[in-house]
Amino acid sequence: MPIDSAVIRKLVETTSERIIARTDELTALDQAIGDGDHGFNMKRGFEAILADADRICAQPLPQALHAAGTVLVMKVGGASGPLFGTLLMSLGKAMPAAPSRTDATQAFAAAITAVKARGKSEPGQKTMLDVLVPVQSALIGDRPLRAAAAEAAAATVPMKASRGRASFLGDRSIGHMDPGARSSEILIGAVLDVLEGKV
Amino acid sequence: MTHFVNDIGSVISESIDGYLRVAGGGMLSRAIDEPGVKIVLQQTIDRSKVGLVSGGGSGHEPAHVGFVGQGMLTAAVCGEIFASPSVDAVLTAIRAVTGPAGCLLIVKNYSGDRLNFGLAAEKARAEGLRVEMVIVADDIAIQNAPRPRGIAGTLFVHKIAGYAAVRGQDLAAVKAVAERVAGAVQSIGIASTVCNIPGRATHDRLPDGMAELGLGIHGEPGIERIALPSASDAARIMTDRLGQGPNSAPALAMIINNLGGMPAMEMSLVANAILATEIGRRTAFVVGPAPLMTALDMRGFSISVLPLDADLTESLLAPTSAPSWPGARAVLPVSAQLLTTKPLGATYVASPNPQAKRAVEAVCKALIASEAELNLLDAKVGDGDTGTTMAGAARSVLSAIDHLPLNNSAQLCAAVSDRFTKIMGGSSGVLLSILFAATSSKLAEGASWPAALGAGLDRMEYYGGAREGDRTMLDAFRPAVRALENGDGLNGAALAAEAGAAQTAKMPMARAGRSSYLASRDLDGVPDPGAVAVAKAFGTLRT
Repeated sequence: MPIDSAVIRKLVETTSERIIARTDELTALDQAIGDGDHGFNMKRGFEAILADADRICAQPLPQALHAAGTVLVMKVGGASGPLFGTLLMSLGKAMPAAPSRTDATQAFAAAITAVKARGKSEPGQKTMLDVLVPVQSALIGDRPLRAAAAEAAAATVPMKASRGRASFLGDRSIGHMDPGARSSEILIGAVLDVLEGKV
Repeated sequence: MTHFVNDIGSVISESIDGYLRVAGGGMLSRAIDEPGVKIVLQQTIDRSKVGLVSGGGSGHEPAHVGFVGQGMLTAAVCGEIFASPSVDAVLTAIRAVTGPAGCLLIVKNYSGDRLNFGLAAEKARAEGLRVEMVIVADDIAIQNAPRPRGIAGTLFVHKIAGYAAVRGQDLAAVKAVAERVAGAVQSIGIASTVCNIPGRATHDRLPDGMAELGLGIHGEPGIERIALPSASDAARIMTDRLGQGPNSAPALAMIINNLGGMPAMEMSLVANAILATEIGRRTAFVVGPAPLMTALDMRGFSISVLPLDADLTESLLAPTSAPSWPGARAVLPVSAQLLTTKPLGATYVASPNPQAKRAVEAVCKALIASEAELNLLDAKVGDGDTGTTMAGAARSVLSAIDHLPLNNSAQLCAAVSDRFTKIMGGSSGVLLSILFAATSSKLAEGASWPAALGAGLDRMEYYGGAREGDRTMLDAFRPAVRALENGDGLNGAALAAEAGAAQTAKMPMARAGRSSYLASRDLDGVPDPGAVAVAKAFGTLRT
C-alpha cells in the first residue's frame, strides 16, 4: 500500500498503543531477569512519540521514522531508548519515500546493522536482535513474518543472556523471554497489521 | 504499596527538591529546562577546571546528587528510577558545565548508561566541546565477566578524580587518575530482600532465609542464591572474593555501603564483622557504613576496596563540600575501659535480726509462691512476666539474706534497693528500687516506717508518673501505708492492700505501664498484677 500520512499516523498510533497496553507484561518479563524498567521505558518512549505525533506524521515516511527514532534516542533513557531509537532512525535514513518491498528489506537490514553497532551485540546473546534478525531473514526468504517473530521471541526463553542487565544473572537468565525481544515482536506485529490493512 | 509519596510521576523531582532544600545550602542548583531533564549542579562553576559529570538512574540516593560539590562532581544527571538518563539530559549537563578545561563523564558500566552518556559525549564533541569518558566496572561478583557492573566503588572515582580536578589538573590527567582508580577498585554486594519501587507492584523473589550474593543496585537478581549467612560468614565470603586483587597492598580504603534497607544497628554490626576479616585488618580508612549508593530499600550492603598509596590517600582524605560524602575515617581499635560500679560510701555490713529476717523471708516466699498466678494475671493485661520479675527479685534477696544488714532498717532498705536495680529488669524493678532508696533515706533521718514508706511512694509517683487510681501497685501500696499511719498495724495494712488490689479490677483505664496500651474491655475484671503482688507481700506479714 502507499505509505501516506494517514498510514504513517496509523503506524505511530498502533505501535504506540500496543506497546503502552502491554507495559505490565514487559515489566513482568524484565523483573524476572532485569530491574523491571523495560515496560516503563518503552511506555515513556512511545507516549513521547504519541505526544509528538502531529509533528512526526506531517513528514514523509523517512523523516517520520527518523523523527520518531530521535525522540526515543534523546528522551527516553535506559538502554531501550537509544537502541529502539537507533533502529527507527537508521530505518528512516535508509528508507526511500515510497518504498518497495525490496527497499524496505534493505532498509531493515541497515537498521539492524546500526543496532548491532550501537549495542555492540550479535544474535544469540538474548536481546532484541534475536527477533529482528530472524524476521529480516524471513523477509528475505518470503516466509510468514508474524510466525517468524513469535517463534524468535519464544526462542529467547532458553537463551543465556550475555548483554544487558540479564547478563548479570548468568544461568538464572535462562527460562525467561527477553523483554526487548518481546517488544520487538509487538512492534513488528503492529506494523504488519497496519500495512495489511487489518487496523 | 507502603511508600510515602505524592504523585508517582514527580517522585524524583520532589526528592531532588527536598534534598536541595536541606543540603543544597547555597551550593547546589537544579535544572529547570524540561521535565525529563533532571540535573543537579554546582551553583558556581569554575570552568577553568575540568568539569566532572556523573549520574545514572534514580533510586541510588544519595548517589549521585549527594556527591555534587567542590572536590567531587560538578553535575549529576538523574534518570527515571533505575533507568539511565536520556541523551538529552546528559548533553544539557555537559553543555552547562564544560569550559575550556573540558569535561569528564564518570559512567557506571550498564548498557543504558554507556549508550546515553556515550551518545551525549559524541554530540558534545561534535559541538566542539572537549569531553572524555571513564567507565567504572568495579563489581567482581561474576568472575571473568566481560562486562562487570559499576556499583559503589564509583564513589572512589568521584572523590579522587574530584580532587585532581579541583587541584587544576588537566583533562588527560584527571581522566588518567579516574581510569586508574576505576581499574583498581573492587566491589561485591549481598542482600536478603528485593527492593520496592514506588508505584510498582512488589515482586517478591527471595524466600525467607535466603540471600542473593553478588547482586547489583537495580533490584535485578544476583548471580548466586545462598542460605542467609551470619554477618561474620557474609563478611568472610565477600572479602574472600575480594581477596584476589588487593592481596599485595599494605593499606586499603574501604566503602561499606548500605544498600538502603539496613538499619543502622545492623550496619554497624556488619562493619564490625568486615573489619575483623583479613582484608578488614588491612583497611586503613573506611567510608561509611552509610547509605551511599543504594537500591531504594534493598536490605543489604556492599563492600568496595581500593589499594592505597600516598597520593590516593591524600585525595581520599581531602575535604569536599559534597553533602553526602561522609568522609574517610581512620580505622582504629575499639577503645575499652573498665568502669567499676562500686557504690559511694560504705558497703553493707551484715547484721542479724530474727524478726526482720522472718519478715523478709515471708515476703520473698510469698512472692516466689505467687509467680505463676501473677504471670497469669499479667498475661491478660501486660506481657505476662510480673510474677517472674517479682519472684526473681525475691529469690535474689532470699539467697543473700544472711549478708543483709537486717538489724538496720535504713541500711536494709538501701541494700534491697541496690539489689533490685541489679536484678529486676523493666520498670517495676526500677520503681521498687526508687521506693526503697527513698524509704532508706527517710529511715536514716529517723522517720517512722509509715512516714518513710509514704515518702518512698511519693518518689515512686514522681518518677513513675502514676497516681492512685491509675491501676498500678500504688493502688495497693498507698492504702496499706495509710493504714499503718492510722495505727491499724500490719493486719490493717494487709486488709487495705488486698482491698486496694481488688479495686484495681474495676478501674477502667491504666495510666502507666504496659496495661496503659490496652483498652478498657481487656482490663475489666482483671486486677493489676503489680497491686496483687504488693497485697501478697503485706498479706504475709499479718500477725
